[in-house]
Amino acid sequence: MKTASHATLSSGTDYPPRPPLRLIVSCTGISVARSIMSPAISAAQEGPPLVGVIDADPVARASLRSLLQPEGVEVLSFESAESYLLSGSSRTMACLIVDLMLPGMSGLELLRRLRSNGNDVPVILLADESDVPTAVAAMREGAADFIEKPYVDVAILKQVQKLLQGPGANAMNA
Amino acid sequence: MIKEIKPTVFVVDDDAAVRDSLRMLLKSVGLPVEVFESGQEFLDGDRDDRPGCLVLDIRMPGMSGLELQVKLNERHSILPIIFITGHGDVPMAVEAMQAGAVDFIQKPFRDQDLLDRINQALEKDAGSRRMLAERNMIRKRLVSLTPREKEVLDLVVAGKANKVIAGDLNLSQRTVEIHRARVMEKMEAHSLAHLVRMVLEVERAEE
Repeated sequence: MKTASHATLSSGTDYPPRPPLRLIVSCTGISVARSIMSPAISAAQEGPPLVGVIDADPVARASLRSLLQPEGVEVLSFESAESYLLSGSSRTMACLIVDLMLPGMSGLELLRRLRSNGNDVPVILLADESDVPTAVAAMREGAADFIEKPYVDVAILKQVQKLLQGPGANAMNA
Repeated sequence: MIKEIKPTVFVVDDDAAVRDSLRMLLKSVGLPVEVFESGQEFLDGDRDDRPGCLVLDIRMPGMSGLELQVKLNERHSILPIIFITGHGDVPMAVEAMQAGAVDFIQKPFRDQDLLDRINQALEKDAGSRRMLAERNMIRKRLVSLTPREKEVLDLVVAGKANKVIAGDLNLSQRTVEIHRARVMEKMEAHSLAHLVRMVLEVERAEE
């Protein structure tokens, strides 16, 4: 369980814009997520695939959680790129769903940072308002998908399912 | 081995004015250019295994740019594609990029922007071709190994010491050393790390 180290890390002073209290709130969210596991998961797996949701808007986080959990996916949510990075769970995610316009480090900056650290976790970016150059820039940085809000739930589910089916689905971007 | 052919910028656009202006622009900077008025014409020309890049209009009567991209992917073409479009939207751009396009540019664009993207695409193409050529060379060297040498190689790459390999293959340590030296020589490996890198490079490509 990452919750303890998560809370400890959050008391560090490296990221002043994030008050520790809010991080603890998001940790509570994590433990809730862990207790509601869908039985629809194949028995062969060690555990449900883990999907990270990074969005500053609690409503968006909650709706993504309720969208994904019935699919047998365990959702870990974070309210900022910084709190996600501090959690240290980057290596174990099946994919990340990231809002482009995060306060602090943006979704695109997070993507760049992950890639420059050699982390190729698939990233689905969500954008409220967007344009073609931004979408193209994100895809060039190695995003698996870029979906505009109000996003069609089906688009996210389809992409997550594709990513969970394993590598190769996105091989052209490698 | 890939023959050294000068990279060419291939332009596929149904609009003659666009073809002409792109041809002039590319010629003005000394880039060889060939233009096509449809995706089918480009496919029929069998240019997709030539070094270069493809500047492709997304919206064309008949075969669309995205359809041509699908066909080229089916042919396992590695030619980098830069889409240009007058009316692109985000989902279309994402689809093109997911299918492997290197870029997606909206009209109107500045000439210099397009040239920059084209140069990036040409560099990428040269890089992929170098990598493919290197892989083919490694494969050739691997094929030249005897079955016994191949066994020794696999165990060396797995990180096993000569003594362990000797035990595994029921050989003397001295014989393993001789095979190992032959493997290094045939693979033209400068070091153990180089040998491992070459083998992994080919294995990764075959996954």
